Amino acid sequence: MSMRQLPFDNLRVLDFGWVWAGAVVGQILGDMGAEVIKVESRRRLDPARQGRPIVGDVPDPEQNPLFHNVNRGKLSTTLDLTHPRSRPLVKRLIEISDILVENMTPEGIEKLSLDYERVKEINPSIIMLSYPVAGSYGPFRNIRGYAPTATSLSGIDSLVGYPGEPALGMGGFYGDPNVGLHGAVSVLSALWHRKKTGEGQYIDLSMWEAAVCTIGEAIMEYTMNGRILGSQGNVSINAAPSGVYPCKGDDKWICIVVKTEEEWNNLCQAMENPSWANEERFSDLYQRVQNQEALNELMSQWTIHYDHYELAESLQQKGVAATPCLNTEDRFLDQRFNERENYVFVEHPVLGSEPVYGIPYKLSETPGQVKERAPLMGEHNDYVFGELLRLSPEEIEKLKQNKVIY
Amino acid sequence: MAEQALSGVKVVECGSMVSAAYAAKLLADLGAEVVKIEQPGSGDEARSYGPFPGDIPHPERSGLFLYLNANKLGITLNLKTKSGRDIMHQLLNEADILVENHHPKEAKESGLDYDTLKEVNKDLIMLSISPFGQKCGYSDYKGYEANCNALGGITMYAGEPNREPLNPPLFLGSYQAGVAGAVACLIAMHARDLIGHGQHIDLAKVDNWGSFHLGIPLVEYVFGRRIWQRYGRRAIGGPYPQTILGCKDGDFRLIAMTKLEWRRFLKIMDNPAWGDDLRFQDRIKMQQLYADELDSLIEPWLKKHTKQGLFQMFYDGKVPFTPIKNIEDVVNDPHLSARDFFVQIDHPEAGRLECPGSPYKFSKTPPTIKRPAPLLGEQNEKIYCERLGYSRKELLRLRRTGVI
Repeated sequence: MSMRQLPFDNLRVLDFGWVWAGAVVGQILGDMGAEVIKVESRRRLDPARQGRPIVGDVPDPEQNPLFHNVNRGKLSTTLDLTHPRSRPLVKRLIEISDILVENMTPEGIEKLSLDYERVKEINPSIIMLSYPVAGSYGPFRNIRGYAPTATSLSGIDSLVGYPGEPALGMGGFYGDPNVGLHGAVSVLSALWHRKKTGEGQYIDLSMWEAAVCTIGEAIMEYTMNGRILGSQGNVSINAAPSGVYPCKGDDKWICIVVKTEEEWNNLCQAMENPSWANEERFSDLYQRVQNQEALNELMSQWTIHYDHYELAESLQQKGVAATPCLNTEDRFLDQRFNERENYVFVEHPVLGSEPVYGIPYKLSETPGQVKERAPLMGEHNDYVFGELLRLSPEEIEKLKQNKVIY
Repeated sequence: MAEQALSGVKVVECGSMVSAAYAAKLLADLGAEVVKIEQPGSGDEARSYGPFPGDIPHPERSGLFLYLNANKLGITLNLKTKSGRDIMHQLLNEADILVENHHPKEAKESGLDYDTLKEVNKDLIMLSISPFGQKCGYSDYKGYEANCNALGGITMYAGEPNREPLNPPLFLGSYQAGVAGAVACLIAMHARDLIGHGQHIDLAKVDNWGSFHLGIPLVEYVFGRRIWQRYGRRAIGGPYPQTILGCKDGDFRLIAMTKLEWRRFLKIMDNPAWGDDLRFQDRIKMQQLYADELDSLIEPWLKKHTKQGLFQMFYDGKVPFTPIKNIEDVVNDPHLSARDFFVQIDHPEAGRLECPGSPYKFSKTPPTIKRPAPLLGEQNEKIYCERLGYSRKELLRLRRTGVI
């Protein structure tokens, strides 16, 4: 990657975010040049450092792929925040930072004296972003949880399932990147305001609410008409055929969506005009939407004979919106998909060469970069406490012995 | 009124449906002025999507449109005409950001071409959201929402193992592109101070799934570990539990990433004897080998309790298990209402609307809803006459000739 200017070369982020969601805002800013100081501790190991090791069977905080993705390029310091002697160091870090992010429960953050009231006494121009599951106030403010917690509380889980059947819940970890991205919008806006006025402020973001924001029309279906949407399946209200159809091979699928008459005609031609396609029940979009179950069944009997990539390509050439459903392996191997650097390789001292995800928005002048792999625990203690906070090597050593730096 | 974080930032939006509109909405709610350009006649396709009050379709009463376009000014402009594009250039002369989500094949014919527009205004930041990106890989492919989800990889992670994978519901993929687009625009605004000019942002809906959401499984794949796949109500791999189980009046999400959380849960169940079973000590093995058995030990207990009762018990006991709320539960949720999360908007055609507000509160520059979504062409006169200096007579002529 060419060395171009990074927009946030002069920005310092103090990152108390943990697990997945909490680390995303720092990651976004870090890729754009910010110096992100992650504060973590062996006393309360980030769950993103736990879990099954990638190599071997012995638990190892340096092997979690989640951690490696969302903390790439950050500096790691280890500080036991419950130790009273950590306080002067935390104060100094707050003083020299522009942005503080955290996603602990409100009671947790108050226990550590890291609530905004206290933070702003130390640095009034800091921008502090808190994003626990349920926000920083309200009767259930201390809900703890993970991405699936956000999708369960927001109603999103209730929309994922086969029509008429119980909810299966959202796949992946939707709630985490979703709140991280909303968090970045808020922090960058507050930073814009600070540029103009010098004013810092506090942002209270809810992971739960950020998920609800992405199903606004389902909320309005209820507030307008009292209708409660349930399992959505692959059903479309304005396209048919529309769905995911089986292809040749083990668990291979293609997604085909047909909205216009032109697309329908193109599809029929691609299928070599089977007689069923001329039946009255499929004669226009209204009929096809009405009879989509039968249509899907007939489509499946056709798609099953083809390779998912090849069929998509030939349908696309005829003007039909068709794409293969990529699984993990496909996403890794598909060169065409990865022309856009959906992942890049970094060298990690424990795992060696490993992929981490790329930057999806391609900025023509300041594209940003994955600067560096994720840090080892405490890898940057000497730089942060020595060079930035100007502690002597002896002081640092003593703090380590006393498990303040831990 | 307090100054807002993005007061003074000027945005022009040429968006249809969700992705560009959500990006611009996020900026508008934080104080940016957004002028939304719609095609004369039919306007944004979201106007025909719904939901509609009483299920009666009306272009000024579509819930999707009204939610995504509050706080914006609306004008009509036919970008397929030369005169229309000239007027757009006048608007862009003053703008900081242009947001659009045309397919790359169609963007050019509407004059949405960065190389041309940067000559009009070198400071302009242009965000182009497209299904597969501007000019590589699958750029030429046609892609509706579900197609982008499929190629982005997310579809393969929901559903039951022996049935078809489930496309994410509604427009989640477009919302994700919208919020990532807003992030990118703000990065470019800050970068402009540094480099002295604007830039083009190329954002593909597929990439957002492929990176932020689904980067992690690639490492596991490369090292030959578990491959993420759909597994019904249960997540594969990871520690037990990570599943949905039934309770008395609905469903519950069970997830515990730490041993402490699992211990707390067993305590709430009154420490059942099976909790000490030697097979049930390594939670990763529990998920791999004994998940069915464990589910059958836990579910009967859950079924004795209501969603609300369980939620309170788990909340008090610091266990991160939560109910699967349906949409009605969400709208009526006491916590969300204590936070004034939902907002009421009065709209001249659709009446009183209730929809999600912003997910964040700012202590100094709070996001607000200042105006409902525009009627089609509502601010034509304001923008064309007051701002760009066209006379009433010219406005009439532009209308008659189909430019606005």
